[in-house]
Amino acid sequence: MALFRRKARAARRRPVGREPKRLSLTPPEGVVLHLEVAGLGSRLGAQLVDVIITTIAMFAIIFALLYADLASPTAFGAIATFLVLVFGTPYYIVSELLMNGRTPGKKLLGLRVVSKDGSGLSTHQVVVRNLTKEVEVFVPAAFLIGGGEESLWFNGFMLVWLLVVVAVPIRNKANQRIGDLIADTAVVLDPRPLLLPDVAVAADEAARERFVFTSAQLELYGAYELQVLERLLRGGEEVKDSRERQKGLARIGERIRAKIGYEERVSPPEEEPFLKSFYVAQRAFLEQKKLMGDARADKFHREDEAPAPPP
Amino acid sequence: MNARTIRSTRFRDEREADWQRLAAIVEAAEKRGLSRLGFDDARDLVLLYRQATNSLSVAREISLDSAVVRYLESLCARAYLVVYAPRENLSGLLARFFSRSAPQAVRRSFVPILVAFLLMAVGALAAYLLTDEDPNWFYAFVPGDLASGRGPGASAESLRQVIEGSDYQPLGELGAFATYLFSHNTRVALFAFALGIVFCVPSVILLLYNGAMLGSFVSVHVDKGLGVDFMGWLTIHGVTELSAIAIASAGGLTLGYAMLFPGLRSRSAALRHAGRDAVKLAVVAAVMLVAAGLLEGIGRQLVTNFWARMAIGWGMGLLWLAWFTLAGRDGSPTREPAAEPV
Repeated sequence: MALFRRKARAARRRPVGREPKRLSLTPPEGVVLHLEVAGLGSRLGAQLVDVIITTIAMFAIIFALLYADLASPTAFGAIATFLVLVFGTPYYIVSELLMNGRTPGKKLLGLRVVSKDGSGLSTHQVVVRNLTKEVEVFVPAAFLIGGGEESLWFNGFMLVWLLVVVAVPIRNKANQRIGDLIADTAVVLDPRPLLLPDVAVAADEAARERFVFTSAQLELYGAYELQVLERLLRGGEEVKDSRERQKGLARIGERIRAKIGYEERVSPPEEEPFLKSFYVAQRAFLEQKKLMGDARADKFHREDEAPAPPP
Repeated sequence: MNARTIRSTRFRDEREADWQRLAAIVEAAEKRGLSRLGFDDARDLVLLYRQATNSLSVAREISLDSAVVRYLESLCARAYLVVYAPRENLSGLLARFFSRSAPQAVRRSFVPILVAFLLMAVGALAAYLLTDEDPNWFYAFVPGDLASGRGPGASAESLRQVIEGSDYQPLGELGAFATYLFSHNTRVALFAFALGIVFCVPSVILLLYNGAMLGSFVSVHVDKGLGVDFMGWLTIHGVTELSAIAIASAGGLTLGYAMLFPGLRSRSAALRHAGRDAVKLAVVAAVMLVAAGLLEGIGRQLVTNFWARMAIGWGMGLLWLAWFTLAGRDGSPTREPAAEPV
């Protein structure tokens, strides 16, 4: 029963979709950073892009040699083999080292390798995760494409190995493959800082003079509701005049006024200034509370689930 | 500043310019490289980064403006990745690896390398004795495509032809090198390293098996009175190649040992610790295999004299040994491997 309730609550707390996997890093500065773990699909995509890039590069060099008539047919095989060798593991190691944890494919898809222990990515880690890639990615891929060999033992073994290779990153908390586990690395989405304007600044002075709330009225909501309101006010600044938005805001304003017992009537054009003033007042109130050690995560006045302090 | 502005908004207003500057510097560093930053930017990067992490931890405590917290989080992550980026240049890295860290790792892994050699020797001896007793054992040890006609049934003449290199090579020397790189032994080395993680078992089996193949080949040739010639044929690249296999397998054994007996660490921590040396062994083995490929492809076809073959083969072996035992002894040979960047 309790489990059900908790699940229902969790569902209520989470508005859209499944929460993406997150990775917590503690840099030497001691402030925990939460990075979004890259999905397996995008990692596969990055791998494909890299394979395509290396293949094109290889063919370009081979054709250039052929065109320039530099290579005799006998030396040709050796050169081709060398190219295959160089555009294998060394390509990944060098590009991840020089491009700070990104191969060209990863860069294109906005992924990067980070060290899980919060220090910088070391050469050792890059070498490890790419050396194992040979056995973990390329050999099973070649097996799949090549369609196996004669020996039943070999095929069976490869199938089991294939299952292991696929199962490990799916089961893992941070989608780490075996090489990542040994190297203690993970692949994350490249963080993209985007600073949105402060909603509290956009609320104009006159409106805040007009709508005044008592602390009893501000006691009701918590941080979660505040941030829902923030999203709402922020969503669609560009379609300010659309009737849909006005209607939505009016509905929300109606609900809030009913809940907090706000007596005064608010005309439809004043709806947005009202909500903004309420947002500012509510935020100021909650921040004040939080500063005094009374953090409210939501309207049930649960304790704020603050991130655990670093050891 | 208006007195009615709330605290978290004031907090943001005071620092926003610095955050934007940090974002611009990080952007430039990502795009053009850290070394091409201007003097002021390079000087301020770390300072601004520290300030931003500071702001982040304050913002988490005092601000309910989710936009600011989220922004600072990704800004700090971005800057962290730039500030703590690997700062290696390739030549320095290679120089350090070859002059110090690789031979030191090999010296530290003396015992597993010895074990790998012994396992191969045991396999070879057993197979030699078995094949000597009953030549049919040969077919049990050597897969058909590798034997390429060299078996107990082959005539002494055809065996001699292979040894003296007069029968094949339509592709020439470099072609032989090419085929070599994807040959049997490279695969053995790769698998013996990587699969060692499964509690040493595959590495041990592969070592015994590889030794067994060698032993049965020797037995077949000795039977036809070609033992010495075969040794010459094998030695020129075999010393390097078998050492490479042993070293790669030693890496695998180290990993497997860490899985079997992690000691006071957790298994994954032990594995990570063992991985530091094991990976260096694997890279050393890869270098040796390329060298062996060159020796086999070029050296073996050009040099057919027995003594020259022996001299080149063992000379290479001595060179490797000298590298492993003599290099990287200066300075701090007892450096804690955990502190080593490579």
